[in-house]
Order: sequence, then C-alpha cells, then structure tokens
Amino acid sequence: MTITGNYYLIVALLLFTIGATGLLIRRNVLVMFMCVELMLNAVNLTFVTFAKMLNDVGGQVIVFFTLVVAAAEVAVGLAIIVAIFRRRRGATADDIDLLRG
Amino acid sequence: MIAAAHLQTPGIYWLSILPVVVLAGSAVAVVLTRAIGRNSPVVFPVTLVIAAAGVIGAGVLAVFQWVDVERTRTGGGPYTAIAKMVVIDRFGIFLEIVILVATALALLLSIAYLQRQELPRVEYVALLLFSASGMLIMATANDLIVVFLALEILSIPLYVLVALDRSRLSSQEAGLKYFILGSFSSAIFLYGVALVYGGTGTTTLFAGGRSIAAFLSGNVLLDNGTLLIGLMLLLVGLGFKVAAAPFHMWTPDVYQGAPTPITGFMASATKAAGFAALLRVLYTAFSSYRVDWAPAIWALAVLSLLVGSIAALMQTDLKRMLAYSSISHAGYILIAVQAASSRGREAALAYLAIYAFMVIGSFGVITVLSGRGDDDHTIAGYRGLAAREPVLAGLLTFFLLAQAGVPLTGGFIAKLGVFEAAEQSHEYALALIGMLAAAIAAYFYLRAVVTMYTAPEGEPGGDAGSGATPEGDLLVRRRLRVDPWSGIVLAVAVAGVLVTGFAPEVVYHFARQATLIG
Repeated sequence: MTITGNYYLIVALLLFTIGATGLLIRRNVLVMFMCVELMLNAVNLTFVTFAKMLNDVGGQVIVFFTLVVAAAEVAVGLAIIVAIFRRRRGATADDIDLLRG
Repeated sequence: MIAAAHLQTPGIYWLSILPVVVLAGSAVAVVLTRAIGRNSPVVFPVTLVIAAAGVIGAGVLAVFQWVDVERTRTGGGPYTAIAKMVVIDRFGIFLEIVILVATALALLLSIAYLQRQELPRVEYVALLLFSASGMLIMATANDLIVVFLALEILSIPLYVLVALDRSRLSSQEAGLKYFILGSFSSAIFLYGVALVYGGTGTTTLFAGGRSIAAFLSGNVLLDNGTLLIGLMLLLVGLGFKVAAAPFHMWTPDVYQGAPTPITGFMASATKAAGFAALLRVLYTAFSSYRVDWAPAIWALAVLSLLVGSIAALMQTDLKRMLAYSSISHAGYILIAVQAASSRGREAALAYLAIYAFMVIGSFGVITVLSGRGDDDHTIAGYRGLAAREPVLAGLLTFFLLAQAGVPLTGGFIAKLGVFEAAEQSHEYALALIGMLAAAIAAYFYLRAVVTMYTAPEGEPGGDAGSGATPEGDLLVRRRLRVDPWSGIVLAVAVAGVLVTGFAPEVVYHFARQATLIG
C-alpha cells in the first residue's frame, strides 16, 4: 500500500474538525485555545501536502508565516487570559457571562 | 562543494507600500518613545505628534498614489508590486483613505477619553496605529497569504485594545471573546486559503499568467469541490471580520465591552478593511465563479439585515443596539457586493465612506457622554438627555437619523446607491428585504431618539433647565464640557454626513474612479 497525498489531507481534515469541535464544546478557555492551535497546525499539514502534490515550494513557505502568526496569537491570548483570571478564580468560559442579551 | 546558488529576489517598488511603511514606522517610533522617555510627562504629547505625522504622512502618500497610479509609470493604470503580493489600484487607495480618516478621528476622540479612564495612553496609540497599518495592507493585498497576514496584523492589536481597560471586567471579557472567536475565524480563513491553493496551485489573486483569476479563466475544472469549499471558508473568515450574520455572535459583546472610541474604530475601519478584502477576492480572483458565490452572499446579506434589525429592537443598551445596527449595515453593503457590477462596487465604497462618518459620530457622542467608568450605556439612562445636554442630544439624534437613512443625510444616499445597484442587477427580492429592514431599523433608532427627548421621571414638562429648583440648578451646573479634540471629531463627522447628504457627487465622484485591477 502506498501512502498518497490524499491520506495526509484526510488526516489534516480530521485534525481540523477535532480542533473546531473542541473549541465549540469545551468550556475551559485554555483548552479552547489549544484547539485553535490544533486547527492552525492542521492547516499547515494541508499546505505542506498540497505543496508536495503540486511540486510547488510556495505552500511550504506559507507554513512559516502561519507559525509566526500562531506564536504572536499565543503571546496576546495568554496575556488576556492571565489578566482575566487574576481577578477571577477558575478558567471556565461559563463564568464569563457579564455581557449578554 | 556547495556552490552559492544565485537567489532571485523580487524587486521592491517602495512607493507601492510607502503609506503602510510610514504608518507602521510611526507606531514603532511611538513604542520607542515610550521606552526612551519612560514616565516623563512629555511622552504622551510627543506620541501624539508622531501619530499625527504618521497618519497625515500616510494620507498624503495615499493621495499621491491616487494621482500617480493613473499616470504613465507602467503605461498607466493599476499595477502589482513586490512579486505580485501588493496591488496598487484606486479601489485599494480609496479604502486606504477611508481607513486613515477613521483612524485619525478615533485617535482624536481617544485623547480626552484616555485621560478620563486612566488607560495606558502611549501603548493605546501604538496599538491603534499597528492595527491601522494592518488594515492598509489588507486594502492593497493581492495574495491570499498577504490577506491572512493583514487580517492578523489588524486583529491582534485590536484584541489587546478591546481588553485594555483593566478596571472594567466587561472590557476584559469582551477582549477574551473577541480573541477566541477571532482566532477561530482566522483558522477557518486559513484553511480556506489552503484549499484554494490546493485547487488552483497558487495564492495570487490577480496578475497576468500565474494567479487564481488566470487559472480559473484558462481551465475548466471537472472536479472543483476543493476549490468551492475553500471559497466558502474564505467567506466565513471575512464574514466574521465585517460582522455579517450568521458570523456576528461576537459583535454585540465586543462592541459593548470595548472602550467606546475603539468600538467606533472597529465599526468603521475594520469593516472597511474586511470589505476591501472581500470585494477584491470575489471581484478579481473569483469573478468567473459568480454563479457559485452570489447565492452565498445573498444569504449572508438577508440574514445580516434581518438579524441586525430585529435583534436591535430588543436591546436595552445603546452600544449593544448600535452593534446590531452595524450588523444590518454590513447587510446593506453585502447587497452591493452581491450585485457584482461596477455599480455595486461604487455603492459599497460610498457606503463604507459615509458609514465611517456616521458611526464614528455616533460613538463619538457616546464617548463624550460616557463619563468616568464608561460602563453605563443603558438606553434608559439617556432619558431626558435633551434637557440636560441639548447640543449633544441633537448631535446623537442627527447621527442616529442618518444611520436610519433619513433624506438629506449621507445615510440616505448610501442606502439609495445600494438599492440602485441591486435593482440594476435585477435582485428585486434583495432590495425589497433591504427596504423592509430599513423600516424596522427606523423604529429602534427613533425609540432611542424619543427616549432622549422624554422628560426624566418626576420632572413633568421637562423644565429641568429652568433652574428654579435646587435639583434643576444641579443639572445645569453638571453640564458636560466637550473637550476640543472630541469637538473636532464631532464637527468633522457632522460635516461628512451632511456634505455627502446634500452633494452625493463628492463621494460618488471618487467611488466611480476607484476601479479594481483587471
């Protein structure tokens, strides 16, 4: 059995779906945050696979951009989370319910 | 032995990105000023001078580009630069100027506000400038990856700005919600980019030879499922940024919790940047796929119009109500996008320009009225405002009526243009739903206006200003003093709405010339 590009694409799709589902159903903000990272990495896998299939280096270069953006997001996201949970105990999204309507 | 390979690097035509360079440079200079000046009292004034230089410099360069692009550099007309990553056309420059005007107004509005709320002032200015430079990149991006980077450059500072008010839990909550949902939508957008890349082999939007537009017009795809799913995911990501239903869930919370000048900035400039990318992706790269994306935009437009105007009816908070109204405004602009004609493009551009003035004006008055704390914006709290603050109440009434689309204001002209574009493309149902939504919207705008002109309870007749009772005396003495900077913002916003209302040619003259590349 040969492993073709499609297998990688399907794995990436599964990872992306797991990430998206996790973000929607989990209540812990840190886990939600990790789910976003999972989604971004699934996209990276998709890019690399397509680059290999198309024999084009462009897709591989894009991965570097994605990594940098993900790192910047982590820095800002964790800072916001820390700022909030200094004032409140616990990290569940259900407790953050001041704004609604 | 490894021979040094001769790398071919793209030539850089600096004028093409100079507005962005100047604006981002001013943001870096602000950060440096903070690092060098520490807590010296002159740091903030210096910061403001740098910010003003950056915004005005970028604006002057953008105007120069506007003139230059139709001159004979490369035979005249729009061109791409930096390995086709950036495109210079009047469409992008028009929106760059809208974004810069909105940035300038938001900055002026913030000066007194920052003092009053004791926010970190210098960091605030730097973040605002960084976010605005991301928006400028977005308006001129010609590659899906550049669009993605611009999306992040504009979003990440905004997450911080929304959460900046650490004395208010609502601000931090809004920041967290915006961050989680924003990064979710960015990931979806990026997956869309990956699938489009897989379907076409490139991420360049439009250029001769190797680009999505050239690929799609040169090939008939037998199996275009990947590409279509990719396109839909792109629409989800951009729909989120422009606050179109059903991707609007974050909007009310974030608009309510964010510092009020930032709410105005997001409603005007972020919307303009988001629609810049949306229009460019759909009109240049995927123009041959109109049959596929037009129904999706149709659905987004209808949902935004109905959700925005109906949910706004039930709001008790003014900022929240304006958030829903901003969703319905996104719906009107989507009507113009759906038309997929030059008329639609003009209408969308004019709408974005006029809306920027209306919404910054509205949030400007709310900022001035917010007082210390910036937490209480219930519509009930505006009861009797007309007796206490006749001028500010009049201004808010004016901006709300303009947003409702009352004739002789810019809001009317903007809506008229959108409906004309829909009518010209034979989208009668869409135009009809738009008019229905405008009728519903008129109700909630008027409800807020009527509340302002209702006498507060216990003071029949509204003679609060007569000064006969000690209570009335107190009310007179409590009259707000509008700081000069906010005064300038309100004056400019009023002038913008009135001038476009009486002489629509002012904006349409330029919108008509703002053609896209291709």
